[in-house]
Amino acid sequence: MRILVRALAIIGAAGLAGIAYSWTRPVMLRAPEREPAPRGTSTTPHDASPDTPSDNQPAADQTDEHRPGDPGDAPSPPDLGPVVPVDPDSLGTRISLQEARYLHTLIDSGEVVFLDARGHEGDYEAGHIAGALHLTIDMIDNDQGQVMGFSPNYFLVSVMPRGTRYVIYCNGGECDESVNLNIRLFDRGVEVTHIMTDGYPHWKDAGLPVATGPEPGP
Amino acid sequence: MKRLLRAGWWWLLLCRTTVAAFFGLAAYSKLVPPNASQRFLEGVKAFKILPDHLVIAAANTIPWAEAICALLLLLGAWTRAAALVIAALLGSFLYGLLTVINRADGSVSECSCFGDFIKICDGPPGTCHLVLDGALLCLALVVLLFGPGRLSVDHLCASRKPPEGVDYVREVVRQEGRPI
Repeated sequence: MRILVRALAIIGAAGLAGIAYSWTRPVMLRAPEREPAPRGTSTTPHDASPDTPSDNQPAADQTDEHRPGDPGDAPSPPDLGPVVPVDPDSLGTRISLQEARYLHTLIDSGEVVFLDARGHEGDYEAGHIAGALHLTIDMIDNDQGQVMGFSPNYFLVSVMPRGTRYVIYCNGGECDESVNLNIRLFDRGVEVTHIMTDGYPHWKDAGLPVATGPEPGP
Repeated sequence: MKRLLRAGWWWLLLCRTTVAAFFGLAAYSKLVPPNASQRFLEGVKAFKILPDHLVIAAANTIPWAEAICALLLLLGAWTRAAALVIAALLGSFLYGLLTVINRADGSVSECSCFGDFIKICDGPPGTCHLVLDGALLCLALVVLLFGPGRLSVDHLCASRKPPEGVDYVREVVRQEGRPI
């Protein structure tokens, strides 16, 4: 009987320790992965980001209005209109193509850094938002070069400038890679981050600045 | 049997420390490296044997239970209780492994059992994991049945505690194998 009581006490202590620990390192269940909606259907960027203001991107909606019967037709760049300035501090975590487009104009000033979170090998080299850096979840969590279980990039994230605004993107849709990278950065104290929910394909289709090749060295 | 155990008390010490080492490393790998907690949670979720809210509770509790039990087993304090918790954990792990192996849908790509430090069994859950967990369960049961042995905090406390009451006498007789 005493053994059973002590065993329950151990489990109780473990539960309390787990609760306390989860405050410092919260864990969360991810939504099940969903296949990205096929292009050329009725899916619009608003479907991917329901919290996006609808009056911000009337032309971006037209991007996906391709007729399924014209697979060979190259999509014509939509007219997004002039860049609309927004107050960066008023932006939520998820931002639209238009908002990301405005933030992109601030790259040269160093206020904003775009992070390409796509983990598939070769995606970044094949094309990325101009000026974006490549930082994937695997780069932080990989097992290569680990010291006592910590990867070198883990420490890199720790010294990322905190005054900078980070815009993370992947391939749009559910954008799991962006969300996970955002969680990891937040865990490491990088709080001012945005996820461009429309993803790189929409950015490219909209005719916005892109670049190819590997990330430039320091 | 008692005489054998008295003569070879280091046997119990070996069982204790082996189980403690496995679970200590398992707890470390589930708690300390970056994103380890999240990965363990996803590993538990992939087994699909618990509802979501229990997945989170299990992912938060199991590593700490492993850590506490490993420490207690190493010290030999509350040894039988720690061995009971470890045995219960291993029993649930075995149930999960058998469920996944029987389901055979390939949804679990790795076991997430002992983290990155113990690479005895790699890959998806299989016979190797069952054997490893079964062997550890046997060791935990040995500790549960025969106690911590002489080199332990439990033994130290028991030998210093003045006899009081019939229960205590019975306990000492059971641990020492002889009347005091």
